[in-house]
Amino acid sequence: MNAGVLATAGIVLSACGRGEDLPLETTLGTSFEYFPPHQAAILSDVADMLIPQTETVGAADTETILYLDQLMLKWAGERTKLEIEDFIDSLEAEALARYQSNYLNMPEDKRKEFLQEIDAASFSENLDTVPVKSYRRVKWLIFHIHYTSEAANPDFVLIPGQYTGNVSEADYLALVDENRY
Amino acid sequence: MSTDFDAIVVGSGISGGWAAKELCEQGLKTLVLERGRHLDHPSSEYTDFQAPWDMEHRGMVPELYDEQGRYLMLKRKGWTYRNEFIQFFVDEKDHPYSYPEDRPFMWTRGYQLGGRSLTWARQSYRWGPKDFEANAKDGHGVDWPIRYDDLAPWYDHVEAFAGISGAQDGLPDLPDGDFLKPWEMSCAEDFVSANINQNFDDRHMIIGRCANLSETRDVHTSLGRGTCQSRNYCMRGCSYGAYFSSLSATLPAAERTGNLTVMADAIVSEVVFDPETKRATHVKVIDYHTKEERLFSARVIFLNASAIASTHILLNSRSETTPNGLANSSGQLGNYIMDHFGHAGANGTVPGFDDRFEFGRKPTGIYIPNYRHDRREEQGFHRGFGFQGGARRSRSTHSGTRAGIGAEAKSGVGDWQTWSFGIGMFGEMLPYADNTVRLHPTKTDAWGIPLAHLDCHIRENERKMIRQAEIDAVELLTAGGCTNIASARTPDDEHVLVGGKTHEMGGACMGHDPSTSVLNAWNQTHDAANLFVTDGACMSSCGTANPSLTYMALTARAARHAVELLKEGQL
Ligand SMILES: Cc1cc2nc3c(=O)[nH]c(=O)nc-3n(C[C@H](O)[C@H](O)[C@H](O)COP(=O)(O)OP(=O)(O)OC[C@H]3O[C@@H](n4cnc5c(N)ncnc54)[C@H](O)[C@@H]3O)c2cc1C
Ligand code: SF4
Repeated sequence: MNAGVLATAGIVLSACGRGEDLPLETTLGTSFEYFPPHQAAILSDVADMLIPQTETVGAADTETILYLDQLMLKWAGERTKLEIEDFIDSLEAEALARYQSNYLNMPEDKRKEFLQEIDAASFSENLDTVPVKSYRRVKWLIFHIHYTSEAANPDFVLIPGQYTGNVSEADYLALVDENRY
Repeated sequence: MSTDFDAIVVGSGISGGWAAKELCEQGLKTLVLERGRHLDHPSSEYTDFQAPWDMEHRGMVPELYDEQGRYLMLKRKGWTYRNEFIQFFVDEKDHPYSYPEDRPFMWTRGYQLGGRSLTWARQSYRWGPKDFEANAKDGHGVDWPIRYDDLAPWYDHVEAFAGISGAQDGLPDLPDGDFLKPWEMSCAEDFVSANINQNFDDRHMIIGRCANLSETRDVHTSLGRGTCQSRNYCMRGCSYGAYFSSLSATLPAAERTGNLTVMADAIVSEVVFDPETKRATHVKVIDYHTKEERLFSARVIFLNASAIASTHILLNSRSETTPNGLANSSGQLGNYIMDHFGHAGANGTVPGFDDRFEFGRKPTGIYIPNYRHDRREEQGFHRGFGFQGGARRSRSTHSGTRAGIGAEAKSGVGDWQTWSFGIGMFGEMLPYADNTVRLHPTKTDAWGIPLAHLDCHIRENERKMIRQAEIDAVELLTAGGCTNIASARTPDDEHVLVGGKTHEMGGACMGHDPSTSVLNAWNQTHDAANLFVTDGACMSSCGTANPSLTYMALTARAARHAVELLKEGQL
């Protein structure tokens, strides 16, 4: 997919509406206060695709979208709210246009491929289109929330108690261990 | 509550805290009037025990503020726009000021007990002899009525109490003091510093001197202050009292004398002058909440509301005999507004230390003091600049602003990057009489006080410095052994925001001559001997080093002088 295709998604969307009748095979929903279940499910899936669990924690482990949900209530302005809506709408519209499927109904490998294309397009050309901007915004938020979480910062030390500017890695790790709590 | 005191201090920030401490310790019943809210120490508003994930909104300022047009200037400042300490900064929507549309001025304020002593970056340097001689030598501004030697004992005095960490560097233009032990340089900083010192006779890179207790002495522990824990969270307030602030140090010292009264939410709008006795007799206070007006009287009055605010109070102190403001017989009140300026610097990598690491977050960086004094002929501009910066080694991160998803995007996150090193200039702006603060002719704030109107810009002398500083920054990094050097500077045709360095000075300059200056050698106004101004407004030039230590020394010196005059019956 290229950014041009992505950019047309908004138009396609107006024909397919908000997708209230999308099938939502999800256990998510109970703890979300801002996002309706289908939005929460899409965002959670996207976050997990962007930052999967590998040898380090993923966005699901750090409950990134749950935190985003709280940010929407207390922090987000209209711009971010709109951008997230735009992102979800564009994603759904594009999935329909290209795969004749709702995003969540696509098989996992297809969803991943799809997101990879969106990502590549969003960082190459046509940076000013609504879908590109909204994707970049969502991506930034997901990465920010994930990488400021406790689990993603295993060697953060709140109160180092001392400064030393020339130690080996082994000594550094020992100091982290000693001073973590 | 009594309305009559021996002394009144307007403002409780860095300089006001010092005035209060010195006056109270000398036995004067002192009233501190602070326009902001009261804060305890430690305060429930401090956020220094919050890990990144504990911080509200993970440190991001609510977007709603943008929509409401709040904190727009603070946002332009960039690094200070963080949710965990935004409560210590003023929103100009609530407290507006004005400037010409094409020449914005950045006025960063902190309206609370303690003022900006809560959020300052604590860099503390004595000014050197050349800084006090500069105006006399090149004829810009008003000659300082004092020299370094007049202030040296007072630097000793304030450093000992505040607790300044630093090395004995032995540099001619940056006098040493009785410092607490210095912070250690990182291996990368040591390397760059050694190379610079080897390659230049005149340029030196030293560890930053700062008001963080690298160790404690009795004078600190007796106030409940503890050793710095290397967190570098100082702008959030410090529950250990390990950096110098009015809340951790000067106000508690004043309080324990039993002579201190503090009144918060008290906006001083003007100083009342008696033309017969030629004395300032009262200050007029408007209650922040009720807008009720009250008068307080004292034998001496210290204005410490910060450079622009103290000047503004004097400008607003209009009467039949002082139609253009109090202490303005020279017509110079509100002139010579200055600030340091940046706008050029460089960064690079420091090779060779990939197996070395730092532990802890030291609350200071490095300093390269001004090495360009007295070189007008050769360099084509007056005065000079220094650099501040530092080296760091961090782990790679992914902020989601580049391509890549999944395991591929994660790979490399958390890997150690190589050491990087960067410096930014601090230039000395010449004192220009027509860089001014005035009362706005029509606009007023919520308390009916005319807005401060700031009209300041840099000139060709400063532009030349910016161009030279970029060249020097690259030279310094190259000589320092850095690689991958990149430099930047603001283009000549772009407005340089005066106030951007938060070191605003001038407005009520000191000088010998009452016809060309506002204050005498003891910070007394020429026109009312019992009225002192000892914050940044008094500065006749702005040097290149961070100024607050100098405000402290000037304040302590002036307070002691005021007490002597009172004892002699002269006030
Ligand atoms: C982010 C930041 C970093 C800084 N870093 C450094 C540094 O590293 N080194 C350095 O030397 N300086 C630094 N500064 C500058 C330093 O904070 C100021 O120079 C210093 O605080 C000035 O002291 P002051 O007493 O004049 O004013 P302030 O500390 O600003 O205090 C003024 C007080 O007066 C009160 N006030 C104002 N108007 C009125 C009124 N009308 N009535 C009653 N009260 C009033 C205010 O509410 C405030 O509490 C920094 C500042 C900031 C914001
Ligand atoms: S670095 Fe030191 S002074 Fe700053 S907040 Fe931490 S303990 Fe306090």
